[in-house]
Amino acid sequence: MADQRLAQRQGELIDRSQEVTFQWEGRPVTGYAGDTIASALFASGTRVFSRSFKYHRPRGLMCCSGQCPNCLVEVDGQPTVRACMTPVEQGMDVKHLNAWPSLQRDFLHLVGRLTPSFGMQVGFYYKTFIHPRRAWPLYEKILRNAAGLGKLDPDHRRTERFDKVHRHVDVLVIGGGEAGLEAAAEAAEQGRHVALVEEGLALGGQLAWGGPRSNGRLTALIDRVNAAGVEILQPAYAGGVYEGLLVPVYQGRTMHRFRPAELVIATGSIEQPLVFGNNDLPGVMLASGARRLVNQFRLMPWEQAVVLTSSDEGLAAALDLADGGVNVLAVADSRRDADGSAIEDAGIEYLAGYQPWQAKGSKAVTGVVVTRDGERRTLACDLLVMSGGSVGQTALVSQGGGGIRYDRDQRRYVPDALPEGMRVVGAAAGSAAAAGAVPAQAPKTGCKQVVCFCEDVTTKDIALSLDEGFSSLELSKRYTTVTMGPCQGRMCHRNSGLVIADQLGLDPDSQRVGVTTSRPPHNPTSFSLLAARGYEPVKRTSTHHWHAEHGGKMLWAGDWKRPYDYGDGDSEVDAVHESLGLIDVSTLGKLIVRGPDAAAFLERLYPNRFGDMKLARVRYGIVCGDDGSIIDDGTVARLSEQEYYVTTTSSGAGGMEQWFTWWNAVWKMDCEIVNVTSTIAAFNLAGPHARTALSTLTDFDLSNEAFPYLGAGHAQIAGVPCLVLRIGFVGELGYELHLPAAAGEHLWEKLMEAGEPYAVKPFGLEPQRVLRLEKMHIIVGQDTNAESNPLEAGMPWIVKLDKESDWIGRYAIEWYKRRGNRLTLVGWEAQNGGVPIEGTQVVGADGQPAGRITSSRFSRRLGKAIGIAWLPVEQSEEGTAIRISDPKGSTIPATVTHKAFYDPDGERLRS
Amino acid sequence: MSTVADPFAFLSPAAAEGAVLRTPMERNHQAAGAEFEDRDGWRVADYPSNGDAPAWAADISHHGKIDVRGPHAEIDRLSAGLELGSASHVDGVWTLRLSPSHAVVLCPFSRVEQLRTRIASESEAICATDMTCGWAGVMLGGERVRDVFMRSSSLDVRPHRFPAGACMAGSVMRCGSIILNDDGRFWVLCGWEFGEYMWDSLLDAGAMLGITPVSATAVLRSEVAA
Amino acid sequence: MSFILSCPNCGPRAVDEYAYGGEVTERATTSEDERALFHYLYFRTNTGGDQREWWFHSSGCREWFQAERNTTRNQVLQVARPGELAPSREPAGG
Repeated sequence: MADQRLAQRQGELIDRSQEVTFQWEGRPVTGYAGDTIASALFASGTRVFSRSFKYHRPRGLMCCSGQCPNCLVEVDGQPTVRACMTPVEQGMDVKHLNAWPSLQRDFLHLVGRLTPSFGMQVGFYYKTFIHPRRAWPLYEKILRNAAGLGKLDPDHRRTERFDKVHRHVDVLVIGGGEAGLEAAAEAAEQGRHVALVEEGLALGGQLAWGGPRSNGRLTALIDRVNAAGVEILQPAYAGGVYEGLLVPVYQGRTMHRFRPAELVIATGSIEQPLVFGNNDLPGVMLASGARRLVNQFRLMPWEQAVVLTSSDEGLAAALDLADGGVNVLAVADSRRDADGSAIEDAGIEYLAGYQPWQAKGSKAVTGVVVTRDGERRTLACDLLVMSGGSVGQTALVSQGGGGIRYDRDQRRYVPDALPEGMRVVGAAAGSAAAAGAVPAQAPKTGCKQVVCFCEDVTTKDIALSLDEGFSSLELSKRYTTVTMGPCQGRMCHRNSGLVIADQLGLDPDSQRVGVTTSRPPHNPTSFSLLAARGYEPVKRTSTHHWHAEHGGKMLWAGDWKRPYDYGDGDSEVDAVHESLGLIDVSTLGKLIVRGPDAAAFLERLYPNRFGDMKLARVRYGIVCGDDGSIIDDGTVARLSEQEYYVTTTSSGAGGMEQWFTWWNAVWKMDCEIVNVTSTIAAFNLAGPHARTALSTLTDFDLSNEAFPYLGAGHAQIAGVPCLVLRIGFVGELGYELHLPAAAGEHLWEKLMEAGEPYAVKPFGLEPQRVLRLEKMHIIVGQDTNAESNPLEAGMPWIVKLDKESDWIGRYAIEWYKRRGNRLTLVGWEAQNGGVPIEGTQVVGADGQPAGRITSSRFSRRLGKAIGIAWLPVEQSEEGTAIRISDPKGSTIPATVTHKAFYDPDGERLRS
Repeated sequence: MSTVADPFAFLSPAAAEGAVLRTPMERNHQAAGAEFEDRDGWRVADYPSNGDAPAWAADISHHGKIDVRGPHAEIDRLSAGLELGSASHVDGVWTLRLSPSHAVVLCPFSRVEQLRTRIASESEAICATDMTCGWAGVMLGGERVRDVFMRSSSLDVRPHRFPAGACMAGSVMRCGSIILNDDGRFWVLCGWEFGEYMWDSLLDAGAMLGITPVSATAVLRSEVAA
Repeated sequence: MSFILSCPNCGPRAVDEYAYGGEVTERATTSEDERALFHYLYFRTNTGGDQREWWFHSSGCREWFQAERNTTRNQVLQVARPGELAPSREPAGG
C-alpha cells in the first residue's frame, strides 16, 4: 500500500511505521496510525463511501473535514459516524449506512433512475402515498427502509459508561485554527485559565492542511499555546451554544458542560460547493478536501484534475495541489476579470469566465463540461475540484444570541451585535480574502443539481417549493428539508439562498434572502452522550427499607418512594378499624413558626383562627391562595405562646415552605420559619388498641382525660423524644408521633413489637385512601382544584371572616360569599354495587354532565362504593338521587350524603 | 400549659435514651460489607480503607448540626462578623454564614445539645434548631475531590472561587445542599431523605476515579482527635 | 432557559437552581372594588421587556429575593433583597 502514497513530507499526519488494520464491509483494510477511516479507505481504493438519502446516488469524499454528509458510516454498531473525522483503530468494524445490497450495487438507486421525469421530488411522499389512506402503514414501512441514514438497534444495551463533567473556565475557545490558537495563547499568557476545543485531528486549521509552507509558523504557534498552559480538548466538538454561554463539548464518551466567563468563537469558514449537473459524483471534491488528502495523508491517486472556482481561494488551491503533485489540467474560473496569471505561470490552462455545466460519469467523474456564452468545452478528468468560495461558520454565534448581518464587501454574512462575554475571531468574524468571490448562478441542466447533500434536495426541488407557495428561505426549508440534515446547512445554506434569490429575482448580494435559524445540535451527537449520567433524586423515609423488606410495594408518590400497600390492602383497612395499624407519614411537610409574631403571622396566612388556641392543642387548617382557592391543608399545633408546629400535605411541603417564607418576606414580621420536613419522621398508630399498645412504651398519660382528641404532647416513647398529636385522618383512635428521623427505624420496630399482641399491621397509601374516604376527609389536589374555595368545599366553619386582621384569600372569599355557592363538595353512596371511576361525570336529568366525581373506592366495611363529588348546589341536598356515568355505557345510581360514611359523629376518634 | 422545657425536643436525637440512631446510608454500608460501631448512640460505619485513595467518601450524617436564624445584627454578633459564603472553625465547631439572617453550626454530636442551648440563650431573637437529622452528610476527599464534585454539580469549586474555609448553598446531584471546603475536603450536606440517593450518586460519579468509602472516624477531625 | 441569575446571598448560579415567583404586584385589599380585585388576582402584565419579579433560591439559601430582568433577552439588570430594588431606569411594564 505504500506505493499509493506520495513521498513523506513535513505536515503529514500519518505515522508510516505503524500499520492499523480494521474491517470495512467485512474485509480487512490496513492504513497507518494517524489515518482517518476515510483516508485509510481512500488509500485502499474505496471511492464510494455512502449512498444518498433519497435517490441512493453513490457519494465519495468531498470535504474531508466533517462538514459534508458523504462519508457517514457505521462504526462498531454506532450509526452516522463521520469517517473523515474518526481516527482508525485496530480492529474497528466499519460498515456502510444505507445501501442494499451493497454500496457498489444499490438496488434502491433504481428508485431515482426509474422515475427520471417525476423523480422523488419534494413532497413526493405526501402527494403519492396518500391514497388509499389505509395503505399508509405499508407505504411507511417501505419508505422507512429506503430513506434515512443508518439503523438504530432497538435491542442495543450500552455497556460503556458515558460521563458528564461541569466545567468552569475563564476562556473557552472553539476552534483550533490559527485565530483560535492565537486567541487562546494570548488569554493564557495573561494568566487566565483557557480551554480550547478542536474537532479535527490536527491543530492549525488551514496552516495544517494548506501545504508545507506554513508548517514553521504552525509549530511556533502550537509551542506558544502549550507554553501558555492552554488546556486542549481534541478531537472534541461544541454541540451548541445555549443561553448564558453554556457550551456542551463532546469528547469521546464525555460531555463537558462548559460555563466560560468568556467564549471565543474561532470556528473559521466553510468552503462551499458549486451547483451544477451531477455535482455529487464521486471524484467531485472541495478544494480544501483534496488538499487535505494530498497534504495531510499524502494521497494522490488521480491522473488528471480540473479546478472549478468562483474565488481566489480556488486559484490558491490549484497551485497548492499542483505543488503537492497533482496533475492539474485546467482551472475554470466563472469570473471574467480575475487575475489568472499565476495559474498560467504554473503551466495550467486558465479558462476565464467559464461556468461549470455538468460533470460526466456514472459512478465516478470522467470529465466536466464548462460553458461560456453558450460555448461548451468538455475536459477529461478523474478529480473535479470545486471551490465556491467560503462562508463564515457563524452557527454557534447565532445560537449564543449573536446577530448576523450581510456584508456586501465580503459577500457573506458576518457576526454582529454579540452578547456580553462572546468574541468572534478569525475567518468566522469575516475575511477580506473572500472579497473577490462572485455568487455563482446554478445552470439549468437536465441532470440532478444537488444543493443539499444530506437530504438530496436539488435545484428543482427548491424551485418547486417556491412554485407551490413556500415563498421564502424559511418556508422552503420546512418543505424541502434543505439545511436540516446532519451537516446543518454547512454545505447548502449559502447555495439554497442563491437558488431562491435566482428564482424570486432577488439580489443575491443583499440581506433580502435572509438566513435560517441555527439550532443545536451543531454536530451529530449520540444519545448516550446526551443521557450521560442523568440524575433522578429519590426521597426515602427513615423506614424505607423496613417497608421494602416487609412486602411494601414501593411506588413513586411525588418525589418520594412510599408503600402502596403490603400485599393485602383490604386486611390493612380491617386492622385499623378492628385492632391496630401503623403507617409511615414522614412525607408530611413540617414547618416551625416561632417568634413574637408567630400567632399573628398564622392568622394572616390562614382563614382559620390560631391566636386563641390553647397550648398543647392541635387544629386542622386549610391554606388558601389570595384567590380564595384551597392550596393546602394540615394541622397546626401550638407548643408555646410563640411557637407553632405546622404540618402540610406531602406534595405541598416544598410549596408551603415557599408560600410561608414568601409572605414573611413581604410582611417582614418578627417570626422565623424553619422547614423541618427532612428532620422529622412521623408515624400514625391508629386503631381501637392504639392507646393500650402505645402505653407499654411510655410513661406519658395517654388517657382520654389527660390527653383528649386534638391534644398535642411531648412524650419519650421507647427512649425516643416524640411530639404526639392526637388526630384521626383515618377515623379511629390514633396518635401521630413526630420524632427525629435518625430514630425512625428504631421506634417503628418498637411500635410493631408493642402492637404484636393486637396483630398490628403496617398499612400503605392505598388502604389509607380508603380509610380517609370513609371519613369523607378530602385530599387537596384530588378532591379540590384551583377553583375550589372553602365555602363551596363544605368548610365554611373554617373561614373566619370576622377576624380583625387581613388574611390571604379574604377578599376573594368575601366576594364568593356575596355571590353565593354554585357548586358544593358532597359525599355519595352507590346504589347498585358499581364502582365509578375517579374523574368521571355525574349525569344530570337532561343527560348532560352535572358534576364530577373526585374520589371513589369500594368500602368493604360499608359493602358499597363511596366517594366525593362536586355537584351543583341545587342537586346537592342530602338524599338526592344522582346518576354517575360509567365507561361501560350505563350509569350508576347513587345518593348524596353530607355526613361521613363511617362513624359520622366521630365517637371512635374521641374514644 | 406545656410541661416540657424545650417544645422542640422532638427534633433532637440527642434527647434519645437507649434508642438506636441510624444514618440514611446504613443499608449502603451494609451492602458494602462495612462493620458498625456505636458512637453516642449512632451506628457508625467502619470501613477498612483510610483516606489515601485518589478520591474517598465518608458518611458524616451523625455529625451535629444546628440551624441558626435571627436578625442580621444578631447573626453577625454570633458568627463574629463572618462574611457571606465563609466559614470559621474554632475549637472543633464550624460556623457557616449562608445569608445575613442564617448561619449553620456544625459540631460533634456529643456537644450539639449544649451548644444549641448556649446559642439560643444568647438572644431572644435567635432561633436555634437541632438539624442533626435535617441534613445527611457526605465528606468527599482525596486529590481528585474536585473531579468527583464536577461530576455532581455545576457549582464552581475552582480553588480561587471556593477556597478552604468557604461554604455555599447550592445544587449537588440536583438536591439543594450545603457545601463546605474543609481544607480541601468537601462537606456535602443534603436533606436526610436524600442521603441514600446522594451516597449512591456520589459513589457512582466517582467510580471511574477510583472513589473509596471510608470511615467517618478516619476523616472527621473532631473524631480523629477523640 | 440556562441563563445565570445572581442570588443576593449566594452569588451567580444557573437559573435551574431557582424557582420563579412571578411579577411583583400590588395586593388588592378590598373586595368592594371587584375590578381591582380581579385584576390583582388574574391579570399579569406579561411584559416583553424590563420586569420586576420574585425569585426563590430553592436549591441554595432558600430565601426570596427580587430581580429586574429583561424578559426578551433574559438579561438580569439587578437583584436585591425583598423591597430593596433600585428604581427602574424606565417605568416597567407598558
